[in-house]
Amino acid sequence: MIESIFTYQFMTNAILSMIFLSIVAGIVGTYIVVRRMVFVAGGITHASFGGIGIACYLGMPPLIGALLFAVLTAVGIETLGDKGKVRPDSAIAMLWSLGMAIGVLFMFMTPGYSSNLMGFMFGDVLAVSSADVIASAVAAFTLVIVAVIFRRPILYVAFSPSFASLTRWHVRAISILMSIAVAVSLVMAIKAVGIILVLSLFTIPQSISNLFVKNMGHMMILSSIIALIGSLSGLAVAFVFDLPAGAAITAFLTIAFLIVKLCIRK
Amino acid sequence: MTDDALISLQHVCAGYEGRTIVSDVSIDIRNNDFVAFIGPNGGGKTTIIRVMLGLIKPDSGEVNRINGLKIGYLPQSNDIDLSFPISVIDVIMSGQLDGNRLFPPKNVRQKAEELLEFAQLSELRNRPIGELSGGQRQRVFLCRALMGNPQMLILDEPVTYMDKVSETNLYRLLPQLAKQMAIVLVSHDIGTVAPFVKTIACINRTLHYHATNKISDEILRVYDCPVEIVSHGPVPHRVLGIHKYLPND
Ligand SMILES: Nc1ncnc2c1ncn2[C@@H]1O[C@H](COP(=O)(O)OP(=O)(O)OP(=O)(O)O)[C@@H](O)[C@H]1O
Ligand SMILES: [Mg+2]
Repeated sequence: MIESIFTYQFMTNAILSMIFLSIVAGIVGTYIVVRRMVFVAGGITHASFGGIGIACYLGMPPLIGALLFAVLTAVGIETLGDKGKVRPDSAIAMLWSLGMAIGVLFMFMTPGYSSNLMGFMFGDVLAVSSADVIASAVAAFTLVIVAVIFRRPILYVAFSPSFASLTRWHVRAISILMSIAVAVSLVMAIKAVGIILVLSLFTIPQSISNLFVKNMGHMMILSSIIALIGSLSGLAVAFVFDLPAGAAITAFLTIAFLIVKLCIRK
Repeated sequence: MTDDALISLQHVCAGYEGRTIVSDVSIDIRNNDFVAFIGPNGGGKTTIIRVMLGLIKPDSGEVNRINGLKIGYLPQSNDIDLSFPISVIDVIMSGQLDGNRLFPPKNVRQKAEELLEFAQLSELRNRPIGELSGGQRQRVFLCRALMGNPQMLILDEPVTYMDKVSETNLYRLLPQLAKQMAIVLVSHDIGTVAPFVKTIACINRTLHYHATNKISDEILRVYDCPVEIVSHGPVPHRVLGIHKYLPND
């Protein structure tokens, strides 16, 4: 059984990409969860669909468009957040639906592309290419190094931005860089698990690990491991029963969370 | 600005979103100062502190700090997220101001450990900050303020949440700290703090500076500064000096 999985190149790619994405999600997802920016992350992911639509229309690689929209949305939310002219959650909802609307409009105007809609919404980890795997490996490696070197400023800025600015950290720069990391990471995961399911990989393992550890660094490590277990299990289930992998992974992680939560309560 | 001032505010007006809260505030804080900021709720004490810290820009007037001034700060309200996964020792270490801050060297950790010891929090060093009581947390934030070896310490209502023992300990400690750094202490309870501070600044829309720790009629009347009732009575008088205008005097 196991050997038969590896004889398929697409399966090897799927497994490798889930390994690297789990590391990415473990680190970035922890930042998203502890800074309580899950809704922001949802906004970024969905707004990126606007970029996908435009890129398809122009015949460009869709994820380039997604990346552009995601980064602009992330930086926009991070910088506008301080201004306080519009309620931040309302602003996020606007960008969220505007992005989706742009995406749908351009998809609609692109002949033959509407069939791709489901692919972007729910992902297709078996369609991940070797180039995608390399990209996620580079992202994972970069994030690990950043998280190790900048552990303290990231922790302090996330915990209390105003106090961190008094102790002369460049709060602005750190927040914006982390926002970009969030945007890039979310987009990387879209191909494998889809826009709608991305957030599960960036929040459920973190919620599980937070039941055990109360330290941001430990949470990043444990979340990566849990994300990996969850996604490989989901992948196996999907392979064996011929189900969509993204949905299987999400279901697996959610059930795991509920079981752990119930066991810990006693 | 006088030569030896660490920080100097000259005719500062400040507020939020164009609404002026305090105006024409002038004060110098020098090396050996130990000044109490007193005044009614909403008078603008915290606002002036935010101006000193550079957290808000004054609408007009001048703020001058000596180069690289190190300020330790204990905020009045902590808008922190109590479920944030950070340990007590990491919170304290976040106050570090110099040296290698990406990878704090041994002596920095040691300093944090000493502060923990001194605040009687050693057993709680690895606890998440949200699992502490309000008073314990306040002590952690005091340690964080001291972590950077500041030249100036700003404590905004430090005894909120503290029990009497911790409060007394803090008030015993402050005169010792005052030998090493300038201290600005915000308090409602002028009766308690007046005996050990050197000077008093009354803040109610503006700042009025008294180069003494005596509570004068002026402080009480003109600036509407709240003084706890216990400090008025003639019997156990915690305040130096008696206020003539009080009926039972
Ligand atoms: N972030 C803010 N935005 C807008 N207005 C504010 C803000 N913070 C304070 N204010 C207003 O500024 C005024 C002064 O507030 P400040 O916090 O400086 O008073 P304070 O003297 O510290 O009071 P307290 O004794 O209650 O701590 C208040 O009327 C308050 O409503
Ligand atoms: Mg105040």
